[in-house]
Amino acid sequence: MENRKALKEKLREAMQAVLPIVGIVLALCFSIAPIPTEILLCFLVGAVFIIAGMMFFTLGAELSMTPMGERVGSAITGSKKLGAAVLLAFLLGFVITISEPDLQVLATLVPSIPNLVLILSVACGVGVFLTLALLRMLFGIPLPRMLVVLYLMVFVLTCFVPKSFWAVAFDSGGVTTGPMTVPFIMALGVGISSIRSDRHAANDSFGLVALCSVGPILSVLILGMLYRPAESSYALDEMPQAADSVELGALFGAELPAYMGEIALSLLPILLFFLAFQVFSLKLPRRQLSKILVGLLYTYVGLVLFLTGANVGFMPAGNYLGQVLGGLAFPWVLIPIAMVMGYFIVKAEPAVYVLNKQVEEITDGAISEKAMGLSLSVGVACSLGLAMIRVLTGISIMWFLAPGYLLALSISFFVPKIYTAIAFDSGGVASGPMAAAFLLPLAQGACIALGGDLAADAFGVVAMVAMTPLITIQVLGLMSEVSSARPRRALLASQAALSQEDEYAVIEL
Amino acid sequence: MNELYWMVVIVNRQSLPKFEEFFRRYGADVHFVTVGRGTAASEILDFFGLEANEKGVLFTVVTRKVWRALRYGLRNRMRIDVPGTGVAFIIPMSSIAGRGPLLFLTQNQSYQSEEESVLKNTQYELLVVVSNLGYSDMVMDAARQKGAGGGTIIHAKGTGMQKAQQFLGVSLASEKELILIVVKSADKNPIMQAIMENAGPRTKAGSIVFSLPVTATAGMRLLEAEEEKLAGNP
Repeated sequence: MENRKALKEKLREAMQAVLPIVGIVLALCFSIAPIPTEILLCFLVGAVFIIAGMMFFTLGAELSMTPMGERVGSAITGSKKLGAAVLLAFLLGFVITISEPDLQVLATLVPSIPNLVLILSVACGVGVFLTLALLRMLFGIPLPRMLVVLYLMVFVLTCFVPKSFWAVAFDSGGVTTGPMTVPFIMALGVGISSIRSDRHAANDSFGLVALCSVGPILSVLILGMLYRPAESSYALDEMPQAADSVELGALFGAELPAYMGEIALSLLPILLFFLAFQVFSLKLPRRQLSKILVGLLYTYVGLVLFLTGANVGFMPAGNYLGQVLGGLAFPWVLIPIAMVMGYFIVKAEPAVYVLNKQVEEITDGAISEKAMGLSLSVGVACSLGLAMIRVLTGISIMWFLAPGYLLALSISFFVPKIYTAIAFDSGGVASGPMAAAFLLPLAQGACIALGGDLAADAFGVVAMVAMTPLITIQVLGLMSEVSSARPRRALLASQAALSQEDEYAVIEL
Repeated sequence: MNELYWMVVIVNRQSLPKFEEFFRRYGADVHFVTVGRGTAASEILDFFGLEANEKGVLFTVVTRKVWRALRYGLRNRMRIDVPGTGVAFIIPMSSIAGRGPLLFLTQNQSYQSEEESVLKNTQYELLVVVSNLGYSDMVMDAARQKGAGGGTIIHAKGTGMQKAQQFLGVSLASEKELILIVVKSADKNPIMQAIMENAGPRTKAGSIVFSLPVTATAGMRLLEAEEEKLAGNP
């Protein structure tokens, strides 16, 4: 079946992404961490859902999200009307955030702030920052400078909000960067910068996600200052109970429609936005349009399966595993185990796949998918190690976040610009649904077992996962800079030695 | 019998590394690679997005001798004739600016120049400028000074750039732009020289330029008409 290659290829990629983490969990369950069989079974069924979901999602994202984003992006800037572009960017950011399911969850976590206020202000935050990002691309303002200013604001603001609120605020950065919006926003960047032909255009096609994830952090911090919430409440999900196979099926069956509705809601604004563009300015031929729509269908099916699998199957397993491991006589074992899990789980993050692919595409392979994957894995492994240290010791999250961001921002002045942009983008990308559905519950479980403060200690895992890739990917850039600096010096010496006489005479062959 | 050819190979993107390795074994070390999309062989599969239609397009320079060996290898080893595998073809090169670039492109192929080309004295030629990413404006400015019209840019990745230092005295980045410019043969040499002087290996653009014969054109009439008018009113 020569023609089925695309599907088979995607299936293989999805398996490669998900099977390692399944293997690790199984190994743990069979050796040191006894967990109820029903939870393990849930996990395995979830893994099947996730593999199928990943397969459809990656297929669909390439087919629909990427072309949609690129077309809309170049249409926005192609109009050459700055006012219209600014308005559209704000609207786009606002609309895609408001429909993000994670945002609704975040809103319920912070009871002292009215839900509507929180949702609207975060959406406004993203809208404003998407606009800023657009202007940055058009005028070619260097990203590091902007990031320094913004993160400085973030850290100044944190001084004015209660400590227990910090983790939630930083976690909210991951909210806008759900699996649906990331591919779209990234492709949008490629489209926007495509009208520039100078040599920084490729560099500037990244950085949108980076700026968009600062927006919600700032908004939530400002709200935290105004409302001074006493406590952020985190409710724990109940453990699934399945006595027999029918009940197990019902667990997944009950959640499936809920996610179908949720994803439809978050897909809708992007679709409407695109259709409006299609009617008014793009006017794509029918064949292309229908391909995009088919791709959207794949994306939809993929995400529904993925999220159902992650939330029904992985979440309880993560939580229980955390509790069991934390309850062991030697809880420090959590650190290496979590690091190994982090190393592999980031590969199962759907948006990561899109990012790596896009990076390879834009840089024409100079930054390979492999190198990106490796540095992301190392980054997330480090972050999980740190997060577990926090769970075990209960030190404040600021001891990690402040130096981490300081380091990330300061090396951003030494690495090639494209690495900085990609690094800050990948921060938002790495902290996707997998982090929320498996890593967070893992930390929560461990925290419960060790009797720590749930709100302050367990949360912040997502913030951590969003921070470390900033450093590791920039280190990758630093390494490439060092290795390319050597020949450059040699060049200057040899240049002087060569004579210019007739060097470029045209030779007829 | 040792003419130079510009070889174009179009294969599935996944099998591209295999082909690159294969070409290197034959001494074709310097490649420029870009990506494309194949058109659908099956409409239904294309509609559902199930067809792997990403193609890798590889450009390299080969001598006739190397091409003969390569063609044999492509058929027998890489099975290029199996439908859906890919296609390779060559275009004779008509000139190249500078001995350094020539040696660089043919580094392991023992090229000896011999005055012989199938397509000599065509009226137009296609200039292919390979320059570092982002410097196409520099190249076009140089080319326009000597009367070139417009150019078209293709993004590409270069491999085998390591030896550039030895042959050109500079190291070349691997992110490349291929700039295609159709010019009148009469204007060709000055344009090529202008590109090499103003955007050549000594500059940041790091360009290499060579030309391929063009046997007929359409869409160049305005340029011709303009020149005739100029010739009419000295």
